[in-house]
Amino acid sequence: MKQPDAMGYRFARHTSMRGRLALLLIALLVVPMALVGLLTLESSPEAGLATSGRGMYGLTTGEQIQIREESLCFQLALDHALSALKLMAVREAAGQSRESPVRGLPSSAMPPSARTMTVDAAGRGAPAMSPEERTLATYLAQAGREFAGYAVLPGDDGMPELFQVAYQPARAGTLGEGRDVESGGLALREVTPAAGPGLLENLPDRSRTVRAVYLPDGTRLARNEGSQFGQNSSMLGAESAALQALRRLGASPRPGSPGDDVPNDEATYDAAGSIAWAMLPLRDPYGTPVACAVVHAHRSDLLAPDHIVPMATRVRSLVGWIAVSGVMLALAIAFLAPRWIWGDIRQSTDSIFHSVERLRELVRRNSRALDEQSRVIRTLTTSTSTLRLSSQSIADTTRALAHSAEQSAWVSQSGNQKAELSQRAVLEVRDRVEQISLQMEELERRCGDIGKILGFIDHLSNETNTLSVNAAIQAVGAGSSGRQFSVVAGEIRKLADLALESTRDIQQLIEQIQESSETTLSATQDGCREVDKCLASFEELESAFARILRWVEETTRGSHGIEQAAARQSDSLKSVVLSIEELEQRAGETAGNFHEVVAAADELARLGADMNETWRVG
Amino acid sequence: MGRMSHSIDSKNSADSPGSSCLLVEAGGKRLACAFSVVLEVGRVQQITPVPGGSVWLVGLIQWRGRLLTVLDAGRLFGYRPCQAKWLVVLTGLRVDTALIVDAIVGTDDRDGTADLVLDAEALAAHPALQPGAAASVPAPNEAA
Repeated sequence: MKQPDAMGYRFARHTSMRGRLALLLIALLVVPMALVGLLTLESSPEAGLATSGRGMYGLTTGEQIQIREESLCFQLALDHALSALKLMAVREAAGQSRESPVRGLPSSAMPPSARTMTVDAAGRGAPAMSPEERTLATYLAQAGREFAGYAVLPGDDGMPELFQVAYQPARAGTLGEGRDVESGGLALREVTPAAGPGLLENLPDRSRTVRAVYLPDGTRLARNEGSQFGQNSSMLGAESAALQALRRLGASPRPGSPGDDVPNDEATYDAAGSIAWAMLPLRDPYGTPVACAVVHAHRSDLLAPDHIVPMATRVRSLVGWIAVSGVMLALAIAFLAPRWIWGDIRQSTDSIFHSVERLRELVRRNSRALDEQSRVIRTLTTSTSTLRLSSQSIADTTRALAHSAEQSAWVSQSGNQKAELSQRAVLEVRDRVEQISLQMEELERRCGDIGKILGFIDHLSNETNTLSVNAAIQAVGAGSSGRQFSVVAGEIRKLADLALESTRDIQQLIEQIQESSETTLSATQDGCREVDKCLASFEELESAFARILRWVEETTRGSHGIEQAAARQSDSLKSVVLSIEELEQRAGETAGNFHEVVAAADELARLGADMNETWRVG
Repeated sequence: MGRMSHSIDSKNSADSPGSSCLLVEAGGKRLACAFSVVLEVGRVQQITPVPGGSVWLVGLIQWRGRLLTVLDAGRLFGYRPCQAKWLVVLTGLRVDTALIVDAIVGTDDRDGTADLVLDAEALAAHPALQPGAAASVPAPNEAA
């Protein structure tokens, strides 16, 4: 990156160098210019030129319009006339020996016979013209464009001749046929309009409504003042009027000794005294000609060379004094200005140096503050990134917790369902056990009945045994007749004993069955109690599962909330991280810029110190 | 008591082998009662105790219209007291007597397992079966 301050300092330094160079150039240019002016004054016949008779006239109204002589249009017109005179003077000064009605006007360097020239802006169309003439014609053509410029130039015979220099881009050629006018030794060509459209036709309409034409001496040739105008109030009329006036003026040429021949009478105006004039249209901002400037240059001094010398001497003396004064002024400026300027510059550089020092200090402070800010931003970025990672970890952990809670909820629901199934199974077992218990009670009751029956059988057996014994006793009492009965009684008694033994065996079995039944019944009752306990445990388990499920649901909702909050926090922190990173980047860029600014300030301070030292040394 | 043991021993020796008898169990001993002295056996029913009698005198009982003196066979013959489950009604004695025994074992004693043979003579000579002896005759254990 460039360092504008340093560059500015260098620029200022260069500017100071330029100032020195400018002062030196001023000093170096003024003297040569003065010398050149003196030399030019010494050799230029233009020093004797004088201008007079200038005016500005409205094209539409014909009234004279007073304008400032320093206006552009006037100066332009004046330049036209002066250029014409200058050309002629140069030719005269060239020492042309050819006699001319115009005294001193050489005839050998006269332009070709073509008296009517049409040239374009590049000067084409003006053959056999000298470079000066070509320049003049081109200049007039460029300046005139849509107007006709006139210049009195030496003709083929060296006589002053009115030339029309026109610029007609669309039509190359002459404006029209012309004819020579001989009048008092002054050859003029009266230009008449051609049959076809020429320059004048190309002029704007309003330019044709010239009410008056002013002669070079300021004589106003109004329409009502000359029959030449007739009803023709166009530029052609003005042109004709001008020629007519020239012709009229040329009727009384007074070549010869100057001085007395200087025309001072308007009626006998010497055409040679005003041999150059020009017309320029004045245009409004829309380009429409609204006035015509007629300017002529007076060449009376040319007609009176003895007057030229004193005039030239005076002018040369004046210009010489001016040049000497300029040289002295330049030398004074060259010697005094640096003192003044350097003093101011040194004060300025001191102030700039101090300002730059303060600026550098401020910039360094800002740079340090910016570095600290960048460091804080980096720390903040790191912390925020860590926080974001922690938030993401929390979100992940909470998500895993929510997932585990969901699995726990599922397991709890499954366990609850299984507990319900087990509870139903236990209830069914309890029903079965109760049925078994009832059946066992029924079995025990039946066993009791069997015992009763067995008791009755036992009683019968005892009774039978008693009867059999008594029968045996009776049989013995009966003697021999009762011997068979005794045998029967004995068999009966044996049967009774068997029945009694069987009854007792059955009784034992029944007792064992009753014992087993009682044991089974007791076990069944114990089973029923255990089943009741199991049911109670199942109810507690179901309640516990319900609580677990409720807690898991609450945990899941909480986890989802935490997860969402953590996710939002993570997103927010991500945005914060991006913003901080961008801020960090901007801060880094700013810090880098500040570093460059610091370097630039240092460079500027150093250059300021150098400049200050330089000025002090200077 | 000595007589009783004599009579018993003599019985065992004099009695014909394989003779029919009512074999009962009383006081842990087996007694062989001749059918001649046995009228009937039956279950012990309600016995009316007689206060002030001998220890073998259990009481009085109403049996088929007769008033019988019930004696404890175990205590009477010097054994342990009986459980008073079976009642053996005797006959041919001067006193209508019934003995209570623990069990009726059988109607013969072919194996010779009886500890004491009770026939008519032995019973008739027994002092406790004499009239009026219930209140004065001591039991064999008491005499010893």
